[in-house]
Amino acid sequence: MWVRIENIGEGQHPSERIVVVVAADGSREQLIVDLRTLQNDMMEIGYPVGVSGDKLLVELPQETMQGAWRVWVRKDAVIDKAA
Amino acid sequence: MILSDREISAYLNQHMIEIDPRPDETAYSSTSVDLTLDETISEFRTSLPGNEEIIDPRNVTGGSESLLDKLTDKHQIGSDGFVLQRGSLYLAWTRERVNLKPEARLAARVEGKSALARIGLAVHVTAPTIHAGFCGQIRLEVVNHGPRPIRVRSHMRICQLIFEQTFGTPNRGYQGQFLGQGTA
Repeated sequence: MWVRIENIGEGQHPSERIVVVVAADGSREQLIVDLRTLQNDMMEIGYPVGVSGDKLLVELPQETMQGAWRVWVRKDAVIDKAA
Repeated sequence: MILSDREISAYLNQHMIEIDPRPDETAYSSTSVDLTLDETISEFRTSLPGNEEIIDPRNVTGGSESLLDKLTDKHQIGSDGFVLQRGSLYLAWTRERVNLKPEARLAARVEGKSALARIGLAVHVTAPTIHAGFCGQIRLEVVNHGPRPIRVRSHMRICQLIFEQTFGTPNRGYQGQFLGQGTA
């Protein structure tokens, strides 16, 4: 599965990118990820780990700068590329 | 349960673990595999510009990477290596990119090498866990705790990975859980 991200810059290492995941409540979670986990404006994640109404709980590939691993996002921010 | 060298190789052959470039046979011990040092290293400056001598993690929300850019100087390790000063903190990376597939039921710990530990070199600051699903070059928090400066060189063995089997599949690796619940 893939979650929509904003690619906002390079990390400290050439292999890293700083990305933002917009949470369902509008807050912005920033994290550093490997460049190869990104495709355009999408980031590879595992399967969602929770669901509530129109929101999905997703686990990110790295801890965010605020210390979170899991974030509620809108369902339309998550796609299954294989579908 | 810690994976043995044979099991690590088997997981690599099945692509449940990816390590790129793949370590050769000499990188293994019975229960670990060594990783090597990348050319890029970031050195923390001992003092900050202006009066902001204190780092307050609460105030760097959303921008800790840009703060790191301000606090550190980036270097490429050349043919003469790079000298780690006593008591200083550096960010370094493994040369190898590691991918722990969530469905592999594996996590790992990055640990130091005893030969380097004996001269005071640490490779992480209390955060050694490589979680299931991790993908990337491993960022190391390198500190020289020893009495003398230490010269490091790119491609040297810098740390070891110890793989552990998780008890069950993590939720994010379990396809059936929310199947058909209508993602976009």
